[in-house]
Amino acid sequence: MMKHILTLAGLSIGAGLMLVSMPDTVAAQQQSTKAQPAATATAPKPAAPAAKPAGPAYKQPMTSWGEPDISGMWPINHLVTTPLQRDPKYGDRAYLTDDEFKAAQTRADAQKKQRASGALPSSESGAAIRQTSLIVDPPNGRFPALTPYGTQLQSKMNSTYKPGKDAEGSYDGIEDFGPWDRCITRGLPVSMEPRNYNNGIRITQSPGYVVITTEMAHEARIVPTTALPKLDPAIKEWLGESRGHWEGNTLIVETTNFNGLTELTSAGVPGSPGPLQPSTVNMKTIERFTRTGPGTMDYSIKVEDPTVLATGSLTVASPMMLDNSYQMFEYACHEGNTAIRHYIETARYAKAHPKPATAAPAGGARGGRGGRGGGGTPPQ
Amino acid sequence: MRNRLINIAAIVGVLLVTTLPLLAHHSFAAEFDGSRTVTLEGKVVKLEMVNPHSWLHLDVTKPDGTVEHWMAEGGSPGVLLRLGWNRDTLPAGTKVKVTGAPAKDGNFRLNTRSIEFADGKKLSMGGSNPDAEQPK
Repeated sequence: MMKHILTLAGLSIGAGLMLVSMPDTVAAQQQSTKAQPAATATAPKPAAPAAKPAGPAYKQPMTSWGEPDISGMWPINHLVTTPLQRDPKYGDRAYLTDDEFKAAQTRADAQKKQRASGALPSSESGAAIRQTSLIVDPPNGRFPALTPYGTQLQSKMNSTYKPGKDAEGSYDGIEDFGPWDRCITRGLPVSMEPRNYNNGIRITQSPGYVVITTEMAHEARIVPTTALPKLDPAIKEWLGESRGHWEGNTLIVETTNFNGLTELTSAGVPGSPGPLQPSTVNMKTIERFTRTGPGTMDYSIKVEDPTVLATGSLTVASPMMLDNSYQMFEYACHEGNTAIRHYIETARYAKAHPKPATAAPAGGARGGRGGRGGGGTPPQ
Repeated sequence: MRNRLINIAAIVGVLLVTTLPLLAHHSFAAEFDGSRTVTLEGKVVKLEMVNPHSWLHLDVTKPDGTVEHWMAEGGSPGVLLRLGWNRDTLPAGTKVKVTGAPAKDGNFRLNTRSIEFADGKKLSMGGSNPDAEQPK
């Protein structure tokens, strides 16, 4: 984050600008006429759940400085019952029939009740949407196959969700964990996808800037919408470097300069094909935000990375719903991330006590103390 | 080792559980044994509402009078707040019964499935435990 701020500040100073408002005339010049990316232009329009159709009478609200106003809290809890990947039984069909939609709502209600334990606390979790999957391109709604290079990268990735990782007990250092385990980031596109908790997304705007704050994991994506020069390709960031512009009422955000260390999917995203889909420094994402009514917004993110995706790209469409009553709590993931230490301790214990590997052991060399601090000592 | 096993056996019930894919910030199975259940009766020492997962500390007095200090993992503070928890939900000294999956390495940690008060009321602590009970 600090690096991000410093980078922006440096660019601003270099251009004789501060991180404050840009003249309206500059912003107006950014009303780009660039054509829409082909995949998103042809992607089916996602339907938002439980929202009144906007209808032709909907008038896009504008900010006081003349840009489309898309600000507000847009939590995506309502998407957790829609799988990222489409069930193959739907083939290329992107939308549910009326009967299927009704059945999906019934399943969503049941899931909501089941998860009322707190793992999925939001009341919005009972919703269903018309889409058969969040992935809308490729047309079959499936996560694309990896290229041979992608497969090679995949074999070197690590995460606590890596298949077989727990059985191996192979945690011995920080390299055995993924960036999400380490509370660094979920990366893109995953940070914009739903999971079973902390689904808040807040959008704030100021002249020349849009800031997208994700509750998981408390990250602020700063998107300049003015003619800020592109970042030097040598500079790499976990969430990349974004540049935005307006096409009519649609905010288009293009992001490059990724560090290639994040996953393209996450085990926490329902219907995900697997936790370890690699990204590279060649990745580019193109996001589109278009309000469709007082409480709804179409959102899509196209991920381009031909080095790992056999199809070259994929597009996820996930309609957002405005809920300014949703409270986003700080998710300061690092503050007590005991998992890293505990997993390494557990793995080393398993190595030292191979028989029986899963029996409840005595304290032994560990003294039977609680993991962190032990004996009631406050954590240091 | 042997004495410790006997002590734990006095308060541990073993049963097989089914799991549902409620995924947390990190994998549950690397640290906790989901096939076993520990039930503890003790007094709250403190509640750490920290990210990514909260920890409830409690002292458990064994039949011989010695005290074990246990840590019970729950959901993130955001999850707990949305469930209605606050800093006064479990004040120090509160008698509770905590059920959950024990740590694989034998440390006094468990991943919480449910918390029950002396009057029988139950409380969910959210979190990554795939079998966390619904709040009562």
